[in-house]
Amino acid sequence: MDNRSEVPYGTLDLMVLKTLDALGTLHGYGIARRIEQVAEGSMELNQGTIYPALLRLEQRGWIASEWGISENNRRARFYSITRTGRKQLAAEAENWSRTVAMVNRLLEGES
Amino acid sequence: MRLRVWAMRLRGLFTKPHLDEEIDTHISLLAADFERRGMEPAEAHRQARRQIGGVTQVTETYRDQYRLPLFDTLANDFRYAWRQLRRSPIFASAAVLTLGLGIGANTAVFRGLDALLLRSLPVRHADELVQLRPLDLDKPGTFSYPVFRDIATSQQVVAPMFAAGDAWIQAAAVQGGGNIRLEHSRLVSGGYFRILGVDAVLGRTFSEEDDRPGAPGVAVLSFKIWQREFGLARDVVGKVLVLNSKPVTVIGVAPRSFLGERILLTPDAWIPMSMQPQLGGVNWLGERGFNFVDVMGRRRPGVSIQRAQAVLDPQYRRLLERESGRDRLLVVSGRHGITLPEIQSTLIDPLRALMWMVAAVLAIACCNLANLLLARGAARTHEIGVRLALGAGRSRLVRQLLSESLLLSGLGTLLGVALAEWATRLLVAYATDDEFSRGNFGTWLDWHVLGFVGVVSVAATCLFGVAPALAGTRLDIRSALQTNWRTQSQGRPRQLLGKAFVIVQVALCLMLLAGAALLGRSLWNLQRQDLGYRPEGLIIADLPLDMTRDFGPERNKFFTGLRQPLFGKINAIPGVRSAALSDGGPFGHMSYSTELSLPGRPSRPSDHTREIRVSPRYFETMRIDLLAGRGILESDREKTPKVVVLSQTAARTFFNGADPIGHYISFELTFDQHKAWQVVGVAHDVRIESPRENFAAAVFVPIEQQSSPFHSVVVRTDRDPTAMAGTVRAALAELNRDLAVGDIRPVSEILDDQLAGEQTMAALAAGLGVLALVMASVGLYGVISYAVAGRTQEMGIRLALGASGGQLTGLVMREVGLLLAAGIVVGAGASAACTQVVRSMLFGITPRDAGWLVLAGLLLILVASTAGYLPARRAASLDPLEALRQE
Repeated sequence: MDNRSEVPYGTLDLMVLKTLDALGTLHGYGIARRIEQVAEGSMELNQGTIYPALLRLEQRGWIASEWGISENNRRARFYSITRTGRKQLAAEAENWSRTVAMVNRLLEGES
Repeated sequence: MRLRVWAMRLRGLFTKPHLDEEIDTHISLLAADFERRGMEPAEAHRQARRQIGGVTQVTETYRDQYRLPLFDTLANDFRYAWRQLRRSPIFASAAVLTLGLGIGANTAVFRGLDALLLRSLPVRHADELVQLRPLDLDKPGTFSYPVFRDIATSQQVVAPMFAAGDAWIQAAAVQGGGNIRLEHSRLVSGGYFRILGVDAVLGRTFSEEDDRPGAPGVAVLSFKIWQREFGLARDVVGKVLVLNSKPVTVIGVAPRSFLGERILLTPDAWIPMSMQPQLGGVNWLGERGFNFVDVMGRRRPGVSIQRAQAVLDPQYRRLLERESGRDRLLVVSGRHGITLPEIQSTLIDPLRALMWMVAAVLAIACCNLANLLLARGAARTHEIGVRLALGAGRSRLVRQLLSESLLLSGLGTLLGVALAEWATRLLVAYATDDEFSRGNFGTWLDWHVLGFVGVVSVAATCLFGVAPALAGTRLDIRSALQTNWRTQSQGRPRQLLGKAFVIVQVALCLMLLAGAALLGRSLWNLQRQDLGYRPEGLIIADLPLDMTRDFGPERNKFFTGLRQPLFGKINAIPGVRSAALSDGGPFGHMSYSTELSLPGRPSRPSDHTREIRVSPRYFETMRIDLLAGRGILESDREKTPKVVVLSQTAARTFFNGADPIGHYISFELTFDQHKAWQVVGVAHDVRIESPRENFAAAVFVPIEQQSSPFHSVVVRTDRDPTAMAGTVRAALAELNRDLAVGDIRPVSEILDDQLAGEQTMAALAAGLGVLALVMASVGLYGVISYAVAGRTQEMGIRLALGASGGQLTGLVMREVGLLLAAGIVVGAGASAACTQVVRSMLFGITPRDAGWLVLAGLLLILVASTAGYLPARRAASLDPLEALRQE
């Protein structure tokens, strides 16, 4: 039985930001792999969807990118978090904890 | 969406996303990973592709986010529209050309009006400026200097104020350095520059200090003169000019942008008013009766124009010496400067009318385009039906069709702006001879003009684009998908729309033709106006007077002494049939009016009698008919009894139809027996100043008995007038070198010059009318062709059932007739409502000239019917079998 779940809606941005915050500059593949590693197979990431997310974050000014050379000697875009991105991460992380806590309380109350 | 995101996406329009490369790298890295875990390379690659998910989908999402979606589709639409237009180059170039002509003409005329009417003077707070305009029997005039002083000092609504009047500079030279040309100088009161807030670009302007009697003479030069006469040399300040033999020091130069307070009349120099008596020889500054200054001022804060008028008008009337009720004072905005009545009537009114005409032409062009687009839309019904069936939104399709219109109008606008640039040059050249004013007058493209162009082209696009786009997409899909568009049910409303456009075109066209007919008729009236004398074969030599020296007792003697020899000499020139002198020839620059009283009938304020001093043979030379009595003869000398000849109107006005011969008049307010003149003749009325004027009361006085400097010689000849002019000039020079001789020209030529404006206007109106006629005919042709094509099958059936070709033609022509009739009814009504626009330019149009309008209508009917007949003929020549076989 496949018990892997889809990426919860709206959390991909948060995960990308956190990854870049923790590991510094990474290319798209590196970000995707890191997220999968942390998920330990509990979540199915459609790796391609990371690129529209990266574009969105960059357009908002939360991450920056530049061209570089990957470990297998190909051109790749390397992303890093910006200052406003860190602020956004802090705000969204708090938001997330609050949501999780609220949902937890709700679920505990039910049982 | 946030601004930043907008900006990024906007930038995205011009950059390329490099997603493909990123994804490739991603896949190769992932595959390498799989290989490391022991997969076959090919298998690893396949696996990596699967892992990354639908690449196409990702790429699409990415691209949508990368750019502004609206712009993206817009760019697509334009690319598509461009391809569509390229596919029909004839349609596209015709459309762009007509739009370009229409928009160009509108822009050019607007630029003229903008420069004349909408631009503020380049001075500080121009909106506070007002002009005080005295009206004498509703005719605008000027103030005398004492009256200006009284108004300026006795109220607080408009303060400060300045006066400005023309200075007559006959001779100008730089001390120790040759003559310069000063055509037009302005005497202005000391506050002029301070009140307008104009600073000198070089040196200084003058102030009240420089404008007091006895102050050293100073002048501020215009930029134009600084450039033309001094080559922008900075040492011009301090140079001494000799104006009318009086020394005047140049103290400064006005800025390039400052062209004076009057529209289209840039002074060459400004001189303090206190210099007037020295420059003019006669002191006008103390003369309450001598009107020569324009007055402007600044409104006090909080004082409206209405309030200023309410205070100033009664005050002005009190100040005047005569209490006649014919004088009024009008306060008008001075923000755009003073518009001379001549400029109003010769430039502004015609431009206004022209604006309406070119707008109508543009509207006709738009209707034509709308019809063409409708027809194109019809041909694309099937395609649009397919797209609707496949799920395209109607608004999306409308947008796509509109982008074609936008592209057309965009190209048309570009062409129009280029044409306008060229046309503006022509207009400006027509408006002013002055090179410098041309450079400064409306030849720049600024936001005024660009805004206008934008509004016009968007309005035009809406006019021709929206309706066809809406009509083109309102389809019943099922019927649209049928292969044959002729059987579709949408044809009717669309044809109705097309017919509405044709009716509008016909109506507008009729209006333009009617306008052209009336203007042409006016010109014809003016050219054939009864002047009271015969202009053919008449030459007039202008003897300009020098204001500084020609008005003294000594000069009077000079002219008196010259009179007889001159008269004798010109009458002896071979080829001269008759010649005479007068103090104001036809179309001269000056005319004199006089009071005229009879025993028991004092002069009235409403009388306006012109006094013309003439030598013997004047009536014979001019060929003015003598209706009773005799003319002025050689025997009327200084010491003989004083006599006058009245014009017909004068005789009627003062004698109420009784025979005036032998009666006495005097040139005083009330009849004075000791200064009485006997009426010896009655002459035909004359129009002396302009062919437009009404016959007015005039009195001819022997120049021997009312001595004055004469300033024109009239010569009647049978010979070539141009050659004769040289002979007359030589004779005058031979007689006395001291006599200044100006232009010597045939009167008919002067008359043509006077009517040049009317001629241009009539020609322009006729040209626009013809253009409108052509466009409307093309429009009608198109609509009828389309209708006939849509009814081919019906026609075939009718033919098969025995209808004759003629009957079918008649059927179509009935439609043409209905369209024309509707258009003409609408156009006639609208024309009647719009006569105001051209009224001020019409001359001598009577209700009897309605025939001309009918003629214009007939021309329209003839041309338009022909345009409709061509497709109607086609209906008749159909082969019934062919027509029926068409699906």
